[in-house]
Amino acid sequence: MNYRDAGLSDGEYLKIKELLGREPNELETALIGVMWSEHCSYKSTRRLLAKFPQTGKYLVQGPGENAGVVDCHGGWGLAFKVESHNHPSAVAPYQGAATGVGGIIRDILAMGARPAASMDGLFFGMPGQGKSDVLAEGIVEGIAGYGNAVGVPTIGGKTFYDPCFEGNPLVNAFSCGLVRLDKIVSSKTARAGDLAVLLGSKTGRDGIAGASFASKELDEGNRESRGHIQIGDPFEEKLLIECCLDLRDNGLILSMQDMGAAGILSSSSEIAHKSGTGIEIFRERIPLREKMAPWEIFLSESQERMLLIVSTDKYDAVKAMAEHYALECAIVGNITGDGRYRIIEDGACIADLPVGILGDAPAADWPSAVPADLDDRREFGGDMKSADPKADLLKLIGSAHGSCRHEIWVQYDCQVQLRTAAEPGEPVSALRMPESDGIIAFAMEAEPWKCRTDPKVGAMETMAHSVRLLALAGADALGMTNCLNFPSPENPENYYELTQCVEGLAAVCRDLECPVVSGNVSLYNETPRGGIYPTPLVVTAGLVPHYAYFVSGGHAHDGDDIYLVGPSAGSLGSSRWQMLCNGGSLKPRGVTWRFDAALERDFISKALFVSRKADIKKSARVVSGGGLAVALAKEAIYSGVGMDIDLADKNPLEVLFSEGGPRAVYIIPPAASEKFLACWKGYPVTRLGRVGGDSLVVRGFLEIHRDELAGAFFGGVK
Amino acid sequence: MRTAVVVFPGSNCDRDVARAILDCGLGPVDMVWHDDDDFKSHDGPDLVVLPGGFSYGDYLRSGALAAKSRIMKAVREHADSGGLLLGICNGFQILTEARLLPGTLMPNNNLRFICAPCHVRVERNDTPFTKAFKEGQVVQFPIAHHQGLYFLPPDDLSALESRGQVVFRYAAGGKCADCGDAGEAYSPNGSVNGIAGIINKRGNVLGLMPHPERSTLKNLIRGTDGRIFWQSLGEYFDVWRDKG
Amino acid sequence: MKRFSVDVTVLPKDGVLDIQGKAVERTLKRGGYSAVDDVRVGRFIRFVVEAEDEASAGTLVDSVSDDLLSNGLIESYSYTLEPLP
Repeated sequence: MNYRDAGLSDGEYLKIKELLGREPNELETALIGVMWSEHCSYKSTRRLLAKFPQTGKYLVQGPGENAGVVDCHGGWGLAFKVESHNHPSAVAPYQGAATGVGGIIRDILAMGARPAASMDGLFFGMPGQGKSDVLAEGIVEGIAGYGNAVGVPTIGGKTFYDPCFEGNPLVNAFSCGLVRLDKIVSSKTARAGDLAVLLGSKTGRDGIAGASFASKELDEGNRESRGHIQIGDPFEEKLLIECCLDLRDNGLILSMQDMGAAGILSSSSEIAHKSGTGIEIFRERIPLREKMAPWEIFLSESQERMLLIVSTDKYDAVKAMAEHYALECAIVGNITGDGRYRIIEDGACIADLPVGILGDAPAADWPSAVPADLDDRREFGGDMKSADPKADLLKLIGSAHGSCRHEIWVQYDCQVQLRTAAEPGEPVSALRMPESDGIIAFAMEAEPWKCRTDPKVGAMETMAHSVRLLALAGADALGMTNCLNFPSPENPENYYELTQCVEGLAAVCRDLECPVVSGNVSLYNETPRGGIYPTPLVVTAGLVPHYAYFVSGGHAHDGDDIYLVGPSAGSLGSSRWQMLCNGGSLKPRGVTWRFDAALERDFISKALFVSRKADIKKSARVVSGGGLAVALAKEAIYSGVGMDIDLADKNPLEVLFSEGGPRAVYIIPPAASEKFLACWKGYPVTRLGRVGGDSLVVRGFLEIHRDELAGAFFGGVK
Repeated sequence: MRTAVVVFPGSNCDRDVARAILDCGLGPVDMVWHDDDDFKSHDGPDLVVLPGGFSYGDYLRSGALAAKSRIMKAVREHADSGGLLLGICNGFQILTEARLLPGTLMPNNNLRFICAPCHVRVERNDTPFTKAFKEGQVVQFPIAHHQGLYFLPPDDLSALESRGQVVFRYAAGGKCADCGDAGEAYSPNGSVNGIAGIINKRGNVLGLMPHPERSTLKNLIRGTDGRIFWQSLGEYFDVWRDKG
Repeated sequence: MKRFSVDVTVLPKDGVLDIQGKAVERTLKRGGYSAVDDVRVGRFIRFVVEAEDEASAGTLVDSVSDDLLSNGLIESYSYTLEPLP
């Protein structure tokens, strides 16, 4: 293998020779090549990611470990992270998605946390187009097949359809776990003299060089890539979870690392690098499933393996625990004090590198250029008229972009572990805290259309939207994790979009005091037909101190007053209405709502304030995709009521279908209206009408029977 | 009332069922590993639970490998001596594979995993597991399974029915929950005769696909009808003290 | 003692509803394979046994198949034995 086959550039190879003071041998070249790949090193984004705020009052562990941790009170920490498994899922949808779920769960486990819930951000091509349905079905089944068996509930997520994801679906797997703050496991705590122990499955040829594979664009005829796909075994993973948590509880491990990209190599070199030690690994001690070359062994991405760092006197107890769970367990190496990464084969050293060279890939800077057509994308273009508002609303809630995702989530076990406090499909997902009355809420958001027309403004709206959802539910934001899904950074226009999105997210995180605790970057999401839209996905976690304060929708009753809090309109730019109804071109146009920090903070504080007034009965919903019209329609559907809305002299199109901005619908019993209005004093509030009848009526604009609304909404994804 | 919950490799509702029992004040609960020879407690448990999950990854057939576990000898002896034995979901599958209950659980007729709230009608309230229900009461127990289609050849099925061994039957929910309709038409998975749970002839071994423990704890999704199930056992052993 | 390679095939019994077979058949037919009919989906298990002779190997395989590999209520099995050198 020459250095180019290992994915290294001429410049990078020169740099390696300079650092080593010699030519690396073939094995060393392969090791460095993978560790310096985009997937392992984040070389294209490391400098960008430094812009994210990484401090906050609840922050316990920021980026740099397997997952971030926030303090969720009562001595408990919440570990969470989202990670992409896009490329594997495009090639082998079931296994790609399944191993995505398994991988992120092990990241959480590596923090010493018990994995408590998963969510998935899925982005598919349009239903019925090309292979989209086959991919979507396989991906959903893979998530279900793995997640259900491993006993971690899938409590929510997001599913988005657009032609740009055809052939390049995105699977962003999120998981979170609970850990006592004094039991968090770190990858920085290995000491010279400790043992490196491999626990779990034997190593085979699964996913060889998957890490560098994820850093390349997908070819249309990707059959040959199939050899790279890992196979997941949720049964083994369930045993691994129980075993690792038992080891942690019994104080038998010093450090732990999951094996994701670049398997043994990255896990062992990261522990040594972060702990400031060296490590030597004995090749022949690694339990193998088949005969393999050394580079294959070290790069294999066989699933369901963990690397444990164990002090020598504890190994017998570790071994006994592994036997109890019928797991393979072997001492494969030693932590050393000399800062070297060594591989020993039959007594001979076959690779000898400074640990730092593996851990610190040089950053790659790409040229950036404003997309030539960006100004054009920002133009709205349409005529801003609705020929048939009723038909428009039915389309917004009845098409793939807005219909109920029931047929997806019914396949996920959302209840195991008995913490789930919100039905899947609700705007936020929720878990009951252990040993307290609190609720942890999660909001997963992504806005590819809005980021396409203005990457920075779109990313800001994405992040702000997630915090709004939490605030309305009564949750104070604790932290955020993100997955940055982009096409090739080597294209200057793509790189510009990436930098703008990161700046947008970072700015809102700073303004709303929500630190970034972990994250993942997936680049090169393109097929020969083109790249995906910029798709930063965020998952924001928040805490509701008591379940009685948790606010949700679908509780409207006849006679209740309906209020809109917030500006009367957001923006029609890149809205669902613009995409589907304004000519139906399915090309996003026009800039979305521009983030307004003061207004946003005001919304958050008032939404939190009103949530604490448990005596004010409320049904509430943030104005999200499809605008106020869709928010009202969902309230009508879930509550089984009609509504009589009078928009007076406002422009009904803008009020009903615009998106973005801190806007929400609250439905309040008349007796509580006065108290409710007092809570929102100083913030724009409009009384829209009252609950009653069988139809959603917007006077002079549309009238739809609630059964017709429900029929469209529950009619399936099409 | 002393409960032993058997933990098989791949069980994942073991903790949940223990929490539900403890939350209802029906402790203590011992967790027993599949590879043990016997239950931990001295005088043996009053109730043995085979919990839900994916024992042995559901490999080969759901429940088939777990039915061969070492602990199953003690489980069988417990049942043979008249002790109460409960199998929920995968536990029900294990009981049929161990031939402690008749029939078998096949893949759902839509070939997909189904996790949903689900209504069942209580066909008998003269068992230790159901004595706190009203006869014919329709309650909401969630389901979460991939292989829950109860199957028994026609002749055996009519014998099972005539002996009154069907304890829970899938029923109409939603607006029709009060009308009490139940049967195959309401099977979410294609179960014959809408069978959701059955008991052995002796009346001490119950298997059901729905999860009563998933509608037991308060302030979670999918209700608290499952408390009536645990109340039945609590009353049977005269330890039910929960007044709401 | 001799060694035999055993191939056991487990199939749904005739008359037992085979939903997987039905689903595969439906998909094939929809994909234009109209000549395909009567699809059954089962399991195939391969292992090695040690026995005195072919007859006692057969007895052992019957026992294993009844005991674990198949569920007699809904499945039937068949097998082939191949002596190993």
